[in-house]
Amino acid sequence: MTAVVAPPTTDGLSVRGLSVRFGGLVAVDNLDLDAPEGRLTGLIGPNGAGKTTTFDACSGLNTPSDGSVHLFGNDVSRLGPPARAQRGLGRTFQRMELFNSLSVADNVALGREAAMAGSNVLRQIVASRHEQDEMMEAAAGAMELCGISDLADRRASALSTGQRRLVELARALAGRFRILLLDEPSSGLDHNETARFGDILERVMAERGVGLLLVEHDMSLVMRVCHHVYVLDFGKLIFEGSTDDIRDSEIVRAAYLGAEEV
Amino acid sequence: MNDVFPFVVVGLTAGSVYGIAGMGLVLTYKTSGIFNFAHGAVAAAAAYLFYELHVRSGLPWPVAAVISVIGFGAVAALCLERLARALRGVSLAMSIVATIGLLLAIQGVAVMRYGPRTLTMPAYLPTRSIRMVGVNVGLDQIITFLVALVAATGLYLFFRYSRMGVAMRGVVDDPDLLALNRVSPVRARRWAWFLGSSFAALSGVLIAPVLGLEAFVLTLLVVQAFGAAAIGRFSSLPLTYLGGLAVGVGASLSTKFVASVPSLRGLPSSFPFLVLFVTLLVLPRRLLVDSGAAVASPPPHTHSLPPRVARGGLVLGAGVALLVPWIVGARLPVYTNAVIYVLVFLSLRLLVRTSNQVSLAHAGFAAVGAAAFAHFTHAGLPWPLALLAAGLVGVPVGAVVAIPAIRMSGLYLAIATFGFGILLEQLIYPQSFMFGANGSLAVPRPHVSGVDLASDRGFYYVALTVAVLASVVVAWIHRSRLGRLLRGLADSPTALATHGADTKVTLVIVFCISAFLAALAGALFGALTGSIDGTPFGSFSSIYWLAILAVAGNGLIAPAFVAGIFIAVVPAYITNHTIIDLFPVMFGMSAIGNAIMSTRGSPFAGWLQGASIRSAGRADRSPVRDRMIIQEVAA
Repeated sequence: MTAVVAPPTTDGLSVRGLSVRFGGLVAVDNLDLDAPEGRLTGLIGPNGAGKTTTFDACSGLNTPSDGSVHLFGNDVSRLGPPARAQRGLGRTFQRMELFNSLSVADNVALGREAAMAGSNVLRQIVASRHEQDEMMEAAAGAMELCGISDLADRRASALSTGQRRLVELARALAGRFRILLLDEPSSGLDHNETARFGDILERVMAERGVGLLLVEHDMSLVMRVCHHVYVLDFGKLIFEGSTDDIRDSEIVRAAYLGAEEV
Repeated sequence: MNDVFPFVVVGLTAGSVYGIAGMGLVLTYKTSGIFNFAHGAVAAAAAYLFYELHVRSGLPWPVAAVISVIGFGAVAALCLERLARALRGVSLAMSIVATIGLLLAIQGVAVMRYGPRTLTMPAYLPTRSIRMVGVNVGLDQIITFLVALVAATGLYLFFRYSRMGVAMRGVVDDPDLLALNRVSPVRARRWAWFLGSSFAALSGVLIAPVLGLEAFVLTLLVVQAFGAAAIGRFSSLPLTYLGGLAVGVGASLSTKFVASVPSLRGLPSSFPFLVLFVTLLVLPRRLLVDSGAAVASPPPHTHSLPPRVARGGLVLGAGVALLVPWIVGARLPVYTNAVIYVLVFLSLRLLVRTSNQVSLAHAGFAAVGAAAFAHFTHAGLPWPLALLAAGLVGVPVGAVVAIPAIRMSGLYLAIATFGFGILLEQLIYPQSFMFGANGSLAVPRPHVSGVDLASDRGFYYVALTVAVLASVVVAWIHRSRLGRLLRGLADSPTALATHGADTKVTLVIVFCISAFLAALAGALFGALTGSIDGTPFGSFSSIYWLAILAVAGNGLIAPAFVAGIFIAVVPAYITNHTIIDLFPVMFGMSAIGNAIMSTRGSPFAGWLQGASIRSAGRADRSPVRDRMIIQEVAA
């Protein structure tokens, strides 16, 4: 399907020739993918197609057997998750990874503070006054953007799934990330919540100009917000193109969309 | 060759026992997801039962053996399976606390019934020897080896080919899928616990005549199965068995080789733990994924007191603490001891509660601090400087323990620190650079002209000052950036890392701070008693401390004081020895109870719950992994 392999993009995330194996199982097979800044890129495919595995490979949580990951033109394949985050790559998780014992405000603030702490012993121990202010400002802004300012003092574990998804998004938005990987942000949300989530994503795109890579099962959300979509099946890229192309594609229909209304 | 062979024979005999003990451990861990730290205690209990039946009641040994191995194995299996089921959904740290509590309880009962001394177990197997390859080999050795070999092979074949064996393999991965195939997961688990406990019991009965009956030694020696299990990567039965043999032979050969190097005399007994520690360090990281149930636990329950109550309690507590020397009379050193323990529990709490890391090597940190302090004061360093320096000596030791913490989380960290603690105790404590050539060093109290600091009363205030300063520091850490990072680390290390914080650094920092505080405590312990040796810092102290902390309540600082009073003051007011002996049993049982209740919002516990099992279980839940499991079960 894929044409000639293009050089990695310099304005965002690029994956080239990525393969991830678990024992004998090839979870991701020779994948090429770009998620530049300013574009909302979709990554879809049936269960087990390798979407989350791809995300984990991008953020350095698993060890690919082959291929490379690039951020803004630099090969980051050998860097750990913190170093990739420091270079502008943020993410959320399908199985949410909130700091459950902390308040919403602390969760979101840690989204910025984690990167400030980095790998420096002293900076991990104390925050300067300046950093403290910057952190609070970023957290307030991110919570405002996601519409969860009124939840600031609630404990993260006490929230509904929909609210927790928003907290996770706000936490990622509090960081200085230029590319965000969102892993099934709408799973567990009802129809209205999903629609509101879509609004928020569009606001994020408009206000921040970041690049989003969205793994999503809700096709209406994908079709509504994405500019460019990749389709995975059994770890292989079977299609890529605009949402219109997707709608017209027989291959995608056969492999994935099936009877689902598009 | 002939001078090596006898050691190989001894090693193979002991190794066979470690091998089957290890297989039992791996089997129950694989099927229940609960790593039973009390596995060795089960073996010890069976050995005591055998002693009771065979030696005291005069039953023929085969009857006694069948009852102790199969009968006791079945009873233990029912209890353990029930316990394991009760622990489902409990955080990893809590499940470790529960089996550690069980270990303490079993040991405590054994000590109450049979006393702390070693009982000799007469040889029940024929001890006649046969000449093989120019060496006399005891029949009992041959029988032990063969029994273990048959048991190991039998278990392997059963696990591999029988329907129940296959079911056991499926039960961890997907109990529901198993139930669909009309195999009850509970039944499969009970079988696994039965086999596992029987194997533990068999190892206990086999090794008792060699070692004699002593609760601690027996527990510890069967715990050598840990080394075997590590070689088997905590999952392969045949490799575990071979690992047991290798550990046995290696330890035995090391006896021969260290005979000429007295400073290494601790090597043979600590060899399995060396194997364990090193294996955990070199195993590929991906193999170190807990197979524990991936049930997300509910968030910790914190019961923060209303500020006014908390402030009132603080003032009251401070008042009492200041007045203690004028109230308690001759028992004052006991209170000083409690105050010093506050440092230990603060340090443990920062690690376990705040950061959700388990350390079973804490007594080692304290020992290092104690020894360093003795040396520094002897070298003429002023008392306060020596204290500070002793704490700082703990820091690199903490950093060493943080290395496994970086590589592995949760269960494997706990096992590694356990091994590390025993290594320190057996290999390092006896060295003259620790407690001197005689194994004991004098430790001074502070002297300042004009101020009474060296008397019991004066030293109490010295210790109290240090404890209060440490409390302030810990409270400050909690509110600082480090505190937020640590709590984040406890909840989701993955999220912290993907937002840019290097969690390795965070881990090293918290281990260093924790070791610093524990080392301070060790130094003060020495100054309190006037001399210091390795006894108070046995590796089992670490376990005991963790269990006590687990029952000392919520909150940040107060539980450290409560735990200090539990461990030091309460026993001093109880003159009845039976009740004092009952203490480990009580703490053990409460630890189990607390662990079980931790998901149900008990007023006590809940603080140990954390994210470690969530992060550990993630790999198991991905669709890819699901597919693999289905293929495995179908195959």
